[in-house]
Amino acid sequence: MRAIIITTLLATATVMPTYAATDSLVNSAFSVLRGIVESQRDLNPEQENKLGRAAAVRIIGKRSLATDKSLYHVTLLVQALAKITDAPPTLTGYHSAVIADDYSLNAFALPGGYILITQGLYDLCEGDELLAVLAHELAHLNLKHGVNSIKNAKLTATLTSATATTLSTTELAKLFSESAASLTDTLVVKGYSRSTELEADAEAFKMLRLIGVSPMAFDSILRKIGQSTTKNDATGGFFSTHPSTDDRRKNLDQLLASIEPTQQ
Amino acid sequence: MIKTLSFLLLGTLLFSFPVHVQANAVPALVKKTLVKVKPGPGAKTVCELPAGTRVEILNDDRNTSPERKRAWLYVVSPSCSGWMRNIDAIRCDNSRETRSTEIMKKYRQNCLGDNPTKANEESPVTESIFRKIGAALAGPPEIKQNGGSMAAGIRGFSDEERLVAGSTDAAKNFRQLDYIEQVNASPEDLAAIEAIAKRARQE
Repeated sequence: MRAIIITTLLATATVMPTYAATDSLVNSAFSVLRGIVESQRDLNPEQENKLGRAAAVRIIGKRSLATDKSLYHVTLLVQALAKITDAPPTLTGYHSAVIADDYSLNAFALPGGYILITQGLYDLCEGDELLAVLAHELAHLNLKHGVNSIKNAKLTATLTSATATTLSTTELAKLFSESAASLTDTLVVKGYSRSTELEADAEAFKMLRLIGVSPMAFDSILRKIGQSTTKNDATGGFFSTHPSTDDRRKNLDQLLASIEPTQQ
Repeated sequence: MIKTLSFLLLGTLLFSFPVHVQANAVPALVKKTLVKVKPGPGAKTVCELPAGTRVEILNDDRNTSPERKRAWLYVVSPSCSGWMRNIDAIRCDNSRETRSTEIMKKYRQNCLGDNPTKANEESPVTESIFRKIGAALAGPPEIKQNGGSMAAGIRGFSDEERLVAGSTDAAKNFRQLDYIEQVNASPEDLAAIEAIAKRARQE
Protein backbone atom coordinates (compact mmCIF):
# COMPACT_ATOMS: atom_id res chain seq x y z
CA MET A 1 0.00 0.00 0.00
CA ARG A 2 2.77 2.38 1.02
CA ALA A 3 4.62 1.62 -2.23
CA ILE A 4 1.51 2.46 -4.22
CA ILE A 5 1.17 5.82 -2.46
CA ILE A 6 4.82 6.68 -3.06
CA THR A 7 4.60 5.64 -6.70
CA THR A 8 1.55 7.86 -7.13
CA LEU A 9 3.34 10.80 -5.50
CA LEU A 10 6.39 10.34 -7.71
CA ALA A 11 4.29 10.12 -10.84
CA THR A 12 2.40 13.27 -9.87
CA ALA A 13 5.62 15.14 -9.21
CA THR A 14 6.84 14.13 -12.66
CA VAL A 15 3.82 15.44 -14.51
CA MET A 16 3.11 18.49 -12.34
CA PRO A 17 5.71 20.87 -13.80
CA THR A 18 4.15 20.42 -17.23
CA TYR A 19 0.92 22.00 -16.17
CA ALA A 20 1.96 24.16 -13.23
CA ALA A 21 3.04 27.24 -15.11
CA THR A 22 0.17 27.95 -17.45
CA ASP A 23 0.15 31.69 -16.72
CA SER A 24 3.87 31.91 -17.17
CA LEU A 25 3.56 29.92 -20.39
CA VAL A 26 0.98 32.27 -21.85
CA ASN A 27 2.89 35.41 -20.89
CA SER A 28 6.19 34.07 -22.14
CA ALA A 29 4.86 32.93 -25.51
CA PHE A 30 2.93 36.15 -25.85
CA SER A 31 6.15 38.09 -25.30
CA VAL A 32 7.95 36.26 -28.11
CA LEU A 33 5.06 36.62 -30.53
CA ARG A 34 4.59 40.28 -29.71
CA GLY A 35 8.30 40.83 -30.27
CA ILE A 36 8.05 39.30 -33.71
CA VAL A 37 5.10 41.42 -34.69
CA GLU A 38 6.22 44.71 -33.23
CA SER A 39 9.80 44.76 -34.31
CA GLN A 40 11.28 41.89 -36.23
CA ARG A 41 14.68 43.47 -36.12
CA ASP A 42 14.70 43.88 -32.38
CA LEU A 43 13.91 40.49 -30.90
CA ASN A 44 15.95 40.19 -27.75
CA PRO A 45 18.47 37.32 -27.44
CA GLU A 46 16.05 35.21 -25.40
CA GLN A 47 13.24 35.59 -27.92
CA GLU A 48 15.59 34.74 -30.79
CA ASN A 49 16.69 31.64 -28.91
CA LYS A 50 13.12 30.42 -28.43
CA LEU A 51 12.25 30.95 -32.05
CA GLY A 52 15.47 29.40 -33.35
CA ARG A 53 15.06 26.28 -31.24
CA ALA A 54 11.44 25.84 -32.31
CA ALA A 55 12.48 26.07 -35.96
CA ALA A 56 15.43 23.73 -35.39
CA VAL A 57 13.24 20.94 -34.03
CA ARG A 58 11.22 21.10 -37.23
CA ILE A 59 14.30 20.95 -39.45
CA ILE A 60 15.78 18.02 -37.53
CA GLY A 61 12.45 16.19 -37.72
CA LYS A 62 12.88 12.47 -37.33
CA ARG A 63 16.62 12.63 -37.87
CA SER A 64 19.39 12.90 -35.28
CA LEU A 65 22.28 15.25 -34.73
CA ALA A 66 25.62 13.48 -35.02
CA THR A 67 27.44 13.00 -31.75
CA ASP A 68 30.77 11.86 -33.13
CA LYS A 69 33.79 14.10 -33.57
CA SER A 70 32.02 16.09 -36.28
CA LEU A 71 30.09 17.76 -33.44
CA TYR A 72 33.26 19.18 -31.93
CA HIS A 73 34.61 19.95 -35.39
CA VAL A 74 31.76 22.21 -36.49
CA THR A 75 31.34 23.67 -33.00
CA LEU A 76 34.97 24.67 -32.88
CA LEU A 77 34.85 26.21 -36.35
CA VAL A 78 31.68 28.19 -35.71
CA GLN A 79 32.77 29.41 -32.30
CA ALA A 80 36.19 30.39 -33.65
CA LEU A 81 34.59 32.25 -36.56
CA ALA A 82 32.14 34.00 -34.23
CA LYS A 83 34.90 35.03 -31.85
CA ILE A 84 37.34 36.26 -34.46
CA THR A 85 34.70 38.16 -36.41
CA ASP A 86 33.05 39.67 -33.32
CA ALA A 87 29.65 38.16 -34.01
CA PRO A 88 26.90 39.65 -31.82
CA PRO A 89 26.28 37.84 -28.52
CA THR A 90 23.47 35.30 -28.27
CA LEU A 91 21.70 33.82 -25.25
CA THR A 92 23.70 30.57 -25.19
CA GLY A 93 26.57 31.35 -27.56
CA TYR A 94 27.04 29.82 -31.01
CA HIS A 95 26.43 26.13 -31.60
CA SER A 96 26.61 23.85 -34.59
CA ALA A 97 25.99 20.21 -35.44
CA VAL A 98 25.78 17.82 -38.36
CA ILE A 99 22.39 16.31 -39.25
CA ALA A 100 23.34 12.65 -39.42
CA ASP A 101 22.34 10.49 -42.37
CA ASP A 102 21.01 13.44 -44.35
CA TYR A 103 22.92 13.28 -47.60
CA SER A 104 21.38 16.31 -49.24
CA LEU A 105 23.66 19.33 -49.60
CA ASN A 106 22.43 21.96 -47.24
CA ALA A 107 23.10 24.10 -44.19
CA PHE A 108 20.81 26.24 -42.06
CA ALA A 109 21.32 29.25 -39.83
CA LEU A 110 18.74 29.58 -37.08
CA PRO A 111 18.12 32.60 -34.83
CA GLY A 112 19.77 32.25 -31.46
CA GLY A 113 23.10 31.13 -32.90
CA TYR A 114 22.39 27.61 -34.16
CA ILE A 115 23.94 26.38 -37.42
CA LEU A 116 23.00 22.95 -38.75
CA ILE A 117 24.76 21.31 -41.68
CA THR A 118 23.73 18.11 -43.42
CA GLN A 119 25.98 15.08 -43.45
CA GLY A 120 26.11 15.32 -47.25
CA LEU A 121 27.52 18.83 -47.31
CA TYR A 122 29.83 18.14 -44.37
CA ASP A 123 31.32 15.15 -46.20
CA LEU A 124 31.66 17.08 -49.44
CA CYS A 125 33.72 19.87 -47.87
CA GLU A 126 37.48 19.65 -47.97
CA GLY A 127 40.19 21.92 -46.63
CA ASP A 128 38.83 25.39 -45.97
CA GLU A 129 35.54 24.78 -47.73
CA LEU A 130 33.71 23.94 -44.51
CA LEU A 131 34.86 27.23 -43.03
CA ALA A 132 33.41 28.97 -46.09
CA VAL A 133 30.03 27.27 -45.69
CA LEU A 134 29.87 28.07 -41.98
CA ALA A 135 30.96 31.67 -42.60
CA HIS A 136 28.06 32.03 -45.05
CA GLU A 137 25.59 30.71 -42.48
CA LEU A 138 27.06 32.87 -39.73
CA ALA A 139 26.62 35.85 -42.04
CA HIS A 140 22.88 35.07 -42.27
CA LEU A 141 22.74 35.17 -38.47
CA ASN A 142 24.72 38.39 -38.14
CA LEU A 143 22.49 40.07 -40.71
CA LYS A 144 19.32 38.71 -39.02
CA HIS A 145 18.00 37.26 -42.26
CA GLY A 146 16.05 34.48 -40.54
CA VAL A 147 14.09 36.63 -38.13
CA ASN A 148 13.38 39.22 -40.80
CA SER A 149 11.97 36.56 -43.11
CA ILE A 150 8.98 35.75 -40.91
CA LYS A 151 5.88 36.89 -42.66
CA ASN A 152 2.83 35.77 -40.81
CA ALA A 153 -0.14 37.93 -41.67
CA LYS A 154 -2.43 36.00 -39.40
CA LEU A 155 -0.08 36.39 -36.48
CA THR A 156 0.16 40.12 -37.04
CA ALA A 157 -3.58 40.54 -37.38
CA THR A 158 -4.33 38.50 -34.29
CA LEU A 159 -1.80 40.05 -31.98
CA THR A 160 -2.59 43.60 -32.96
CA SER A 161 -6.29 43.10 -32.44
CA ALA A 162 -8.09 44.21 -29.30
CA THR A 163 -8.71 40.61 -28.30
CA ALA A 164 -5.04 39.64 -28.27
CA THR A 165 -4.81 39.42 -24.48
CA THR A 166 -7.70 36.96 -24.32
CA LEU A 167 -6.02 34.33 -26.48
CA SER A 168 -6.16 30.84 -25.07
CA THR A 169 -3.07 28.70 -24.54
CA THR A 170 -4.07 26.54 -27.48
CA GLU A 171 -4.37 29.57 -29.75
CA LEU A 172 -1.00 30.87 -28.61
CA ALA A 173 0.57 27.46 -29.18
CA LYS A 174 -0.80 27.47 -32.72
CA LEU A 175 0.49 30.96 -33.44
CA PHE A 176 3.91 30.22 -32.03
CA SER A 177 4.12 27.04 -34.11
CA GLU A 178 3.07 28.99 -37.18
CA SER A 179 5.89 31.49 -36.64
CA ALA A 180 8.42 28.71 -36.34
CA ALA A 181 6.88 27.06 -39.40
CA SER A 182 7.12 30.29 -41.38
CA LEU A 183 10.83 30.54 -40.58
CA THR A 184 11.41 26.86 -41.39
CA ASP A 185 9.58 27.27 -44.68
CA THR A 186 11.90 30.08 -45.70
CA LEU A 187 14.99 28.19 -44.64
CA VAL A 188 14.15 24.80 -46.12
CA VAL A 189 11.65 25.25 -48.93
CA LYS A 190 11.58 28.74 -50.39
CA GLY A 191 15.07 29.91 -49.64
CA TYR A 192 16.15 33.49 -49.14
CA SER A 193 15.87 36.07 -51.85
CA ARG A 194 18.63 36.51 -54.38
CA SER A 195 19.80 39.78 -52.81
CA THR A 196 19.82 38.22 -49.32
CA GLU A 197 21.98 35.29 -50.42
CA LEU A 198 24.43 37.56 -52.23
CA GLU A 199 24.60 39.79 -49.16
CA ALA A 200 25.49 36.77 -47.00
CA ASP A 201 28.09 35.67 -49.56
CA ALA A 202 29.72 39.10 -49.44
CA GLU A 203 29.74 39.07 -45.63
CA ALA A 204 31.24 35.56 -45.60
CA PHE A 205 33.86 36.73 -48.08
CA LYS A 206 34.88 39.46 -45.65
CA MET A 207 34.97 37.00 -42.74
CA LEU A 208 37.24 34.59 -44.59
CA ARG A 209 39.65 37.37 -45.46
CA LEU A 210 39.59 38.55 -41.86
CA ILE A 211 40.68 35.17 -40.52
CA GLY A 212 43.32 34.67 -43.19
CA VAL A 213 41.53 32.02 -45.26
CA SER A 214 41.43 32.28 -49.03
CA PRO A 215 37.96 33.25 -50.27
CA MET A 216 38.62 30.82 -53.11
CA ALA A 217 37.47 28.10 -50.71
CA PHE A 218 34.01 29.57 -51.10
CA ASP A 219 34.25 29.49 -54.87
CA SER A 220 35.47 25.92 -54.71
CA ILE A 221 32.55 24.60 -52.65
CA LEU A 222 30.02 26.49 -54.77
CA ARG A 223 31.52 24.89 -57.86
CA LYS A 224 31.32 21.45 -56.31
CA ILE A 225 27.71 21.95 -55.28
CA GLY A 226 26.89 23.21 -58.76
CA GLN A 227 28.48 20.14 -60.31
CA SER A 228 26.89 17.74 -57.87
CA THR A 229 24.72 15.13 -59.43
CA THR A 230 22.97 14.37 -56.18
CA LYS A 231 20.80 17.45 -56.09
CA ASN A 232 17.75 17.12 -53.95
CA ASP A 233 14.43 18.87 -54.19
CA ALA A 234 15.12 21.45 -51.54
CA THR A 235 15.81 24.96 -52.76
CA GLY A 236 16.52 26.72 -49.50
CA GLY A 237 19.54 26.85 -47.22
CA PHE A 238 23.07 26.93 -48.52
CA PHE A 239 22.05 25.00 -51.61
CA SER A 240 19.85 27.78 -52.84
CA THR A 241 18.80 27.89 -56.47
CA HIS A 242 17.99 31.59 -56.16
CA PRO A 243 20.54 32.78 -57.14
CA SER A 244 22.23 29.92 -58.95
CA THR A 245 25.68 28.82 -57.91
CA ASP A 246 27.00 30.33 -61.17
CA ASP A 247 25.56 33.70 -60.25
CA ARG A 248 27.05 33.45 -56.80
CA ARG A 249 30.47 32.60 -58.22
CA LYS A 250 30.26 35.61 -60.53
CA ASN A 251 29.42 37.74 -57.51
CA LEU A 252 32.50 36.38 -55.76
CA ASP A 253 34.61 37.18 -58.81
CA GLN A 254 33.46 40.76 -58.55
CA LEU A 255 34.29 40.86 -54.86
CA LEU A 256 37.74 39.47 -55.56
CA ALA A 257 38.28 42.00 -58.33
CA SER A 258 37.35 44.78 -55.95
CA ILE A 259 40.29 43.98 -53.68
CA GLU A 260 43.22 46.23 -54.31
CA PRO A 261 46.34 44.38 -55.53
CA THR A 262 48.27 45.29 -52.40
CA GLN A 263 45.61 43.61 -50.28
CA GLN A 264 45.71 40.27 -52.04
CA MET B 1 10.58 0.22 5.82
CA ILE B 2 13.56 -1.21 3.96
CA LYS B 3 11.37 -1.70 0.92
CA THR B 4 10.28 1.93 1.06
CA LEU B 5 13.84 3.21 1.39
CA SER B 6 14.97 1.01 -1.47
CA PHE B 7 12.15 2.27 -3.64
CA LEU B 8 12.97 5.90 -2.86
CA LEU B 9 16.66 5.31 -3.59
CA LEU B 10 15.80 3.67 -6.88
CA GLY B 11 13.52 6.57 -7.79
CA THR B 12 16.22 9.11 -6.95
CA LEU B 13 18.76 7.28 -9.06
CA LEU B 14 16.33 6.93 -11.92
CA PHE B 15 15.49 10.61 -12.09
CA SER B 16 18.99 11.93 -11.49
CA PHE B 17 20.57 9.76 -14.18
CA PRO B 18 19.92 12.01 -17.19
CA VAL B 19 21.38 14.99 -15.33
CA HIS B 20 24.46 12.99 -14.56
CA VAL B 21 24.92 12.00 -18.21
CA GLN B 22 24.57 15.53 -19.47
CA ALA B 23 26.99 16.92 -16.94
CA ASN B 24 29.63 14.66 -18.39
CA ALA B 25 28.76 15.34 -21.99
CA VAL B 26 31.60 17.69 -22.86
CA PRO B 27 34.30 15.74 -24.67
CA ALA B 28 37.29 14.94 -22.56
CA LEU B 29 40.81 15.54 -23.79
CA VAL B 30 42.77 12.39 -24.43
CA LYS B 31 46.46 12.98 -24.37
CA LYS B 32 47.82 9.82 -25.87
CA THR B 33 46.67 7.56 -28.58
CA LEU B 34 48.00 4.42 -30.07
CA VAL B 35 48.49 4.55 -33.79
CA LYS B 36 49.17 1.50 -35.84
CA VAL B 37 50.17 2.20 -39.38
CA LYS B 38 50.92 -0.13 -42.22
CA PRO B 39 52.81 1.87 -44.82
CA GLY B 40 52.88 -1.03 -47.23
CA PRO B 41 52.34 -4.76 -47.50
CA GLY B 42 54.08 -6.50 -44.62
CA ALA B 43 55.44 -3.36 -43.03
CA LYS B 44 54.10 -2.11 -39.75
CA THR B 45 54.80 0.75 -37.42
CA VAL B 46 53.35 1.07 -33.99
CA CYS B 47 53.82 4.21 -32.03
CA GLU B 48 52.19 6.19 -29.31
CA LEU B 49 51.71 9.86 -30.02
CA PRO B 50 49.86 12.81 -28.58
CA ALA B 51 46.52 13.33 -30.22
CA GLY B 52 46.66 15.94 -32.93
CA THR B 53 50.23 15.12 -33.88
CA ARG B 54 50.99 15.23 -37.56
CA VAL B 55 52.35 11.89 -38.64
CA GLU B 56 54.55 11.34 -41.62
CA ILE B 57 54.23 7.95 -43.21
CA LEU B 58 56.92 6.55 -45.44
CA ASN B 59 55.88 4.19 -48.12
CA ASP B 60 58.45 1.42 -48.47
CA ASP B 61 57.32 0.42 -51.92
CA ARG B 62 60.52 0.51 -53.97
CA ASN B 63 58.64 1.19 -57.17
CA THR B 64 57.26 4.40 -55.77
CA SER B 65 59.15 7.56 -56.59
CA PRO B 66 60.40 9.64 -53.65
CA GLU B 67 57.83 12.32 -54.37
CA ARG B 68 55.08 9.79 -53.91
CA LYS B 69 56.40 8.15 -50.81
CA ARG B 70 55.11 10.47 -48.18
CA ALA B 71 51.75 11.07 -46.71
CA TRP B 72 50.96 12.99 -43.58
CA LEU B 73 48.19 12.00 -41.32
CA TYR B 74 46.77 13.73 -38.33
CA VAL B 75 46.21 11.48 -35.39
CA VAL B 76 42.57 11.95 -34.62
CA SER B 77 41.32 8.78 -33.02
CA PRO B 78 42.24 6.74 -29.98
CA SER B 79 41.03 3.56 -31.57
CA CYS B 80 43.17 3.16 -34.65
CA SER B 81 43.75 -0.46 -33.90
CA GLY B 82 43.15 -1.41 -37.47
CA TRP B 83 44.49 -0.17 -40.70
CA MET B 84 44.09 3.59 -40.57
CA ARG B 85 40.62 3.13 -39.31
CA ASN B 86 38.88 6.19 -37.92
CA ILE B 87 41.41 8.58 -39.33
CA ASP B 88 39.51 11.18 -41.25
CA ALA B 89 41.69 14.24 -41.56
CA ILE B 90 44.39 13.63 -44.08
CA ARG B 91 46.97 15.88 -45.55
CA CYS B 92 49.26 14.49 -48.16
CA ASP B 93 51.57 15.17 -51.04
CA ASN B 94 51.24 13.64 -54.47
CA SER B 95 51.37 10.07 -53.30
CA ARG B 96 49.42 7.69 -55.46
CA GLU B 97 49.04 4.93 -52.94
CA THR B 98 45.76 3.18 -53.30
CA ARG B 99 43.74 2.51 -50.19
CA SER B 100 40.57 0.58 -50.04
CA THR B 101 38.96 1.98 -46.94
CA GLU B 102 36.13 4.46 -47.11
CA ILE B 103 38.19 7.07 -45.39
CA MET B 104 40.80 6.94 -48.10
CA LYS B 105 38.32 8.33 -50.57
CA LYS B 106 39.21 11.76 -49.30
CA TYR B 107 42.85 10.87 -49.56
CA ARG B 108 42.44 9.96 -53.20
CA GLN B 109 40.41 13.06 -53.90
CA ASN B 110 43.18 15.22 -52.53
CA CYS B 111 46.11 13.27 -53.87
CA LEU B 112 44.95 12.11 -57.24
CA GLY B 113 43.77 15.46 -58.43
CA ASP B 114 40.03 14.96 -58.23
CA ASN B 115 39.92 18.39 -56.67
CA PRO B 116 43.26 19.93 -57.52
CA THR B 117 42.26 23.51 -56.83
CA LYS B 118 44.39 25.64 -54.66
CA ALA B 119 41.50 26.10 -52.30
CA ASN B 120 41.80 22.51 -51.21
CA GLU B 121 45.14 23.16 -49.64
CA GLU B 122 44.48 23.69 -46.00
CA SER B 123 45.30 27.09 -44.61
CA PRO B 124 47.13 27.45 -41.30
CA VAL B 125 43.76 28.16 -39.68
CA THR B 126 42.13 24.95 -40.81
CA GLU B 127 45.30 23.01 -40.17
CA SER B 128 45.29 24.24 -36.60
CA ILE B 129 41.66 23.33 -36.18
CA PHE B 130 42.32 19.81 -37.39
CA ARG B 131 44.95 19.50 -34.72
CA LYS B 132 42.46 20.66 -32.14
CA ILE B 133 39.94 18.12 -33.34
CA GLY B 134 42.56 15.52 -32.67
CA ALA B 135 42.37 16.55 -29.04
CA ALA B 136 38.64 15.90 -28.97
CA LEU B 137 39.15 12.34 -30.09
CA ALA B 138 36.33 10.08 -29.04
CA GLY B 139 33.87 12.94 -28.90
CA PRO B 140 30.89 13.20 -26.66
CA PRO B 141 28.86 10.13 -25.71
CA GLU B 142 25.59 9.23 -27.36
CA ILE B 143 22.67 11.47 -26.66
CA LYS B 144 20.26 9.88 -24.28
CA GLN B 145 17.12 9.93 -26.34
CA ASN B 146 13.86 10.66 -24.62
CA GLY B 147 13.05 7.20 -23.47
CA GLY B 148 10.36 8.13 -21.00
CA SER B 149 6.90 9.50 -21.36
CA MET B 150 6.20 12.76 -23.11
CA ALA B 151 5.66 14.36 -19.70
CA ALA B 152 9.12 13.29 -18.60
CA GLY B 153 10.54 14.35 -21.95
CA ILE B 154 9.37 17.93 -21.69
CA ARG B 155 10.30 18.48 -18.06
CA GLY B 156 12.70 21.39 -17.84
CA PHE B 157 11.75 22.91 -21.18
CA SER B 158 10.88 26.53 -21.53
CA ASP B 159 7.30 27.66 -21.80
CA GLU B 160 7.49 28.14 -25.55
CA GLU B 161 9.07 24.76 -26.01
CA ARG B 162 6.33 23.09 -24.08
CA LEU B 163 3.89 24.71 -26.48
CA VAL B 164 5.41 22.89 -29.41
CA ALA B 165 6.67 19.79 -27.61
CA GLY B 166 3.45 17.95 -28.29
CA SER B 167 4.41 17.48 -31.93
CA THR B 168 6.11 14.36 -33.13
CA ASP B 169 9.80 14.16 -32.27
CA ALA B 170 9.86 17.69 -30.87
CA ALA B 171 10.76 16.64 -27.34
CA LYS B 172 13.56 14.44 -28.60
CA ASN B 173 14.90 17.26 -30.76
CA PHE B 174 14.81 19.82 -27.96
CA ARG B 175 16.90 17.36 -25.97
CA GLN B 176 19.33 17.13 -28.86
CA LEU B 177 19.65 20.91 -28.94
CA ASP B 178 20.21 20.92 -25.16
CA TYR B 179 22.96 18.45 -25.73
CA ILE B 180 24.86 20.33 -28.44
CA GLU B 181 24.71 23.45 -26.30
CA GLN B 182 26.90 21.67 -23.77
CA VAL B 183 29.69 21.12 -26.27
CA ASN B 184 31.94 24.15 -26.28
CA ALA B 185 35.35 24.77 -27.68
CA SER B 186 37.81 25.31 -24.87
CA PRO B 187 39.11 28.87 -24.33
CA GLU B 188 42.60 27.55 -25.04
CA ASP B 189 41.51 26.14 -28.41
CA LEU B 190 39.82 29.37 -29.38
CA ALA B 191 42.77 31.48 -28.29
CA ALA B 192 45.15 29.29 -30.29
CA ILE B 193 43.02 29.59 -33.42
CA GLU B 194 42.63 33.32 -32.96
CA ALA B 195 46.40 33.72 -32.70
CA ILE B 196 46.94 31.70 -35.88
CA ALA B 197 44.28 33.70 -37.72
CA LYS B 198 45.97 36.89 -36.58
CA ARG B 199 49.30 35.68 -37.91
CA ALA B 200 47.70 34.61 -41.19
CA ARG B 201 46.23 38.08 -41.62
CA GLN B 202 49.60 39.70 -41.09
CA GLU B 203 51.42 37.51 -43.59
